[in-house]
Amino acid sequence: MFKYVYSLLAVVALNASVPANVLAQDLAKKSTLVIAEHRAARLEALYSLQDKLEQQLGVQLKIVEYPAPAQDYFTKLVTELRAGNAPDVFTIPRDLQLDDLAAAGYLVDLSGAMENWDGYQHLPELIKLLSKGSFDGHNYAVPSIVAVEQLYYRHDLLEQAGISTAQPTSWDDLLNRARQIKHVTGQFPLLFPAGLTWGMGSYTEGYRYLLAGFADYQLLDQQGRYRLGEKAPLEAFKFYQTLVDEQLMPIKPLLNPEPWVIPKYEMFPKGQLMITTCGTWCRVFDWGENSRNPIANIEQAVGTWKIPSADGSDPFVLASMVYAWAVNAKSRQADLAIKLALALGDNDVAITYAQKLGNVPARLDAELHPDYASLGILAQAHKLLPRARALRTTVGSNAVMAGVARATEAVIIGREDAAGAQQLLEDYVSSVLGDEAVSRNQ
Amino acid sequence: MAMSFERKRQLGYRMMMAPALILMGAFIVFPAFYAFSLSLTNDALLGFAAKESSFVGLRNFSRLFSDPLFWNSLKVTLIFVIGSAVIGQFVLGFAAAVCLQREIKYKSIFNAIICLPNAVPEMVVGFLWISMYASGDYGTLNRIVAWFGVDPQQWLYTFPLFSIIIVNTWRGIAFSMILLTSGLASIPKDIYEAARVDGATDKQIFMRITLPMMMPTIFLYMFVSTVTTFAIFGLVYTLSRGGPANSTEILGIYIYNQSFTSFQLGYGAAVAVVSLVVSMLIGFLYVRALKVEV
Repeated sequence: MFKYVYSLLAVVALNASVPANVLAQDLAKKSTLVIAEHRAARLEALYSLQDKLEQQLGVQLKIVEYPAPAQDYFTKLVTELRAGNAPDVFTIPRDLQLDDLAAAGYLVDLSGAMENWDGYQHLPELIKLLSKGSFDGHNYAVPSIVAVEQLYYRHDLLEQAGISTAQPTSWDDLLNRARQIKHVTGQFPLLFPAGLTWGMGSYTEGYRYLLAGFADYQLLDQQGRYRLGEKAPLEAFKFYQTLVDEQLMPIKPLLNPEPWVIPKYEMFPKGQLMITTCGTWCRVFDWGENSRNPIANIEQAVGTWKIPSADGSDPFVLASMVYAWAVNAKSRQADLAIKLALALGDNDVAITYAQKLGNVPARLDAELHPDYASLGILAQAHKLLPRARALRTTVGSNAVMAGVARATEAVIIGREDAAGAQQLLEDYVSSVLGDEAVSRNQ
Repeated sequence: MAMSFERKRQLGYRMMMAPALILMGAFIVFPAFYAFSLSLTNDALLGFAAKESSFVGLRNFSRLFSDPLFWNSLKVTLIFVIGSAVIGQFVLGFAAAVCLQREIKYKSIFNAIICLPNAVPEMVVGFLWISMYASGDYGTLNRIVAWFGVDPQQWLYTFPLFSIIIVNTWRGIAFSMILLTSGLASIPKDIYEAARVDGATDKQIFMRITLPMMMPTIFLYMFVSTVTTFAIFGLVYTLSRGGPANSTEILGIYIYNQSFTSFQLGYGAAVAVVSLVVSMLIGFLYVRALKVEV
């Protein structure tokens, strides 16, 4: 019996002596930073950059693969941030999620680091603004790529049907074009995402396009309250109602668990849907030659229109800071993590990601990069960046997006008219964020 | 003073119960009270409330009771529970139990076939049935109905609630059958023999002997299956995520959506508390209606 005990003690003692040597080696070893990434294309981009980043910073990167769907990724990330076991560096899927994360205290304030970062001066003013918390003006994210969003239409099929492919000048013009498409081709003309199952996309890829169509409208008033009771939100719901009433938009697929699959991945490539809202990623990720639903000769087959304004003033494109890099406030190696986040803001990284994902680099000096030409048609969208428009949100944007999803669903299933949907949105946001978060002045 | 033998024995029994009580306290009672305390706050996973939540009294509950989506969710849950647990699983499970009481060939194979769905994890069942219900020509069910000249259907869109009831029924028959088989086996054979000697028909035997004597088992089954079906989440989340248009948004999905999609922990906890109360109420009604002592 004692023989075994002595053996055990000997083994323990031996192990206890080993760590002294190992510790010395460990100290000499590189530090490890944990970085979260998701979706095959993004992971592929990060893995291709891993060696270079590790050498540049003298660290080891541990890449943790997160769930692919954006909502699942964000939910897992937020849950881990709350629990205190999130990765050191991660991405924020959309700029409008930044405020909520920053207000929760999950993000490191990068203001000082950003001021000294040479990339900052090359960012468009709009993107600089979107990387800041609306409530304190501090920088919380390093922009890397940007989605330039506009309307994508089937140029080949409209020409074939003898329908004008000229830029629509106003909402009325767009709706008239849609009516003509329906009349001539018998196919669904337009898609503006809506409904609960599309989640935040009902706002970001649908309702937001319409709200931004009012040049004098901003979502927030000067006190940072949401202006939901005004004319612009109501008119945006009326636009949806017209699409529903005149059957200009496919409704049934929007009620499916993955509502984007049928209209964007099946109907648009097959020519059963002619115009859809989308970002630059659609050309590569959704319908590109290496995608699952390629559109043959996409450069000629699919055209883009800027988003028409409600009143016929200048059409515009929307820009969103997507997948900006942020640092976990509870990171044990915050300084190193900040260096990594800034390195991820370099043009090398941005162009690698942009190529894989179909977005455009956030920095304007990307056009001087030797690989810029490889972006092809995306470079045209990159040039639109300085004049792009965005709607600023603040803390509670998640409630606004959830409210828009509910309200647009009520319109598409015929439960509410435009006025009812607006009321539903106001009531929902008030009930979640409190009355003080909503400006009810007409 | 020395402890009496009886007191020692009592203490021994209590000590033996202690691990179970500690586990129940840690994993059931404490979370329930914590959920209740959370439901009285505006705690959230995002925004300022995530950093510092505050007491809001019954505001979450008042919002809950005025939210049509909550009432819709409660209605959907009740239909789902009644359709799948109370009717589907019970009727088919009972039928299977009665049939398999008889001496039939390959009985063990039939038993295994019925029990198999219960061995499959909830999420796997969900994905399996997504393939069954898939729209277009390639869905398994669509291939089957095509033999009868029926056009491909969008099952989860056209018959959403009914479709998930079918899946849960399919999965739960085994549990119902096993429990009810044990109930049937506990009925003494000599009662049946005496009834037959007295000239009772099969129907009379079933209605006057089998059913009344099965009541405690049926009660137990109903109680357990109702409460567990109330708590289902993964199966429905995989199949429909509560859609289309909230038509399959059972309470589990609603709680998840509020807590982890809208990130409102306080409100999600309020729904969970109400869900717990509803489950307890249903359990209480079972006990009262069937006059069974538990």
